[in-house]
Parts: sequence; structure tokens; C-alpha cells
Amino acid sequence: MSQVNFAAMTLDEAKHYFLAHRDDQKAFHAYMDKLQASGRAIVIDPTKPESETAAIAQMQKRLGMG
Amino acid sequence: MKTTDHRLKNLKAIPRSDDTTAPLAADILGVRVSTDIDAVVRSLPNRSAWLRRVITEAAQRELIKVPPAPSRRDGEGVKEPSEAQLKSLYRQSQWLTNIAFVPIHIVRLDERTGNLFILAGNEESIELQINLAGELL
Repeated sequence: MSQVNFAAMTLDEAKHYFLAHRDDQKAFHAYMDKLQASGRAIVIDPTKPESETAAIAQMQKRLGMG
Repeated sequence: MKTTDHRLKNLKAIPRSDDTTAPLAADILGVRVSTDIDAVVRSLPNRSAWLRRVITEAAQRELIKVPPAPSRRDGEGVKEPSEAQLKSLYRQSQWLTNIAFVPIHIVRLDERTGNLFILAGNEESIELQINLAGELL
């Protein structure tokens, strides 16, 4: 169905394509793979409270808080 | 629905009340239940379909030992987040919406990895991933 060349997209292009096509599973996977490869995602290990503390600090920074 | 049972040949076919397709037994399975249970079951808009599903599920589970049908049909992978992920999701949602005052746009499970993805922030700048519990990054 999809003729979209995800491989050629940048992370942000894949993100915007996915946001416009949320029912497209391939678009979601392409975005997730690129996000993973980029290291841009704020990652939490839910079994480690310190990873949540670190995530909140990262989120504050990205949101320009404090 | 086609039947060759002579007892049914003069009966008018009534469309099945659900989307099951397995052939049905000729005889009706009926029981009397207590008045309170009877009242709630009779209040259902489609009680035949409900009774058929409930009896079938219980018989499969307790008598035939068939594993329950997967909740999603699109192939393999993780179907739902773990308890640890859900608790973390609650904490992050609470922080994002009540402390940072930013919207959450997407919550979605990557069924291939079991990781939970959250997109949040006025500029969609927060890309958060809550890993499947115990898994390394």
C-alpha cells in the first residue's frame, strides 16, 4: 500500500510523516527505528527510579523549564 | 447456516446474533439461574451472543484448555505494556500534564520491542520511551 521511501527520510521527516499517518504501522516503525538509532529519545527503565529522575531532568531541559 | 437435521427443517432460519461461524448444535443449552443473575443477563441487548461467548470461553478455558485468543490480530509481538511500564507511564503523564503543563499527543506500544512510546510537549519535543521492564537499553 505504502510507496513511501522511509529509508531516505531524516528522523524529523519520519516523525512528521507518522504524525500525519498515525494508522500507518510502517510509518510508526520507521519513526521508532530512526529515533532509536539517533539516541534522541529520553529512555526510561521503569525498574530503575534513577532513570526516571534523569528523564525528568532531560524533559525539563527540552521544555526550557527552570 | 445450513442444516440437515430433520428436526429443524421446518424452522425458519434466524440470523445468528453474533459473527461466529462454527456450526451450531441442534439443541439449545439452557439453565435457570438465580433471579438477580437472570435480571442482569436479560437486560443485555444481545444476550444470546453474550451467553454464547461466555459459555464458549469458559468451556474452552476450563474444559478444553484452549489458550485465550490474542487481543490483537496483527501478528506477533508484545500486546500490552507491563505493569512496571504502566506505573511509569502514569508518573510521566502526571508530571507532564500537572507539573510541566504540556500536552501528551501520542501513547503507543511498539509491539516489536515492547517499548512504550510517548510524544508530548507543545512543540512535540518530548520523545519518551519507557522500556519493557528489565530489558537493557
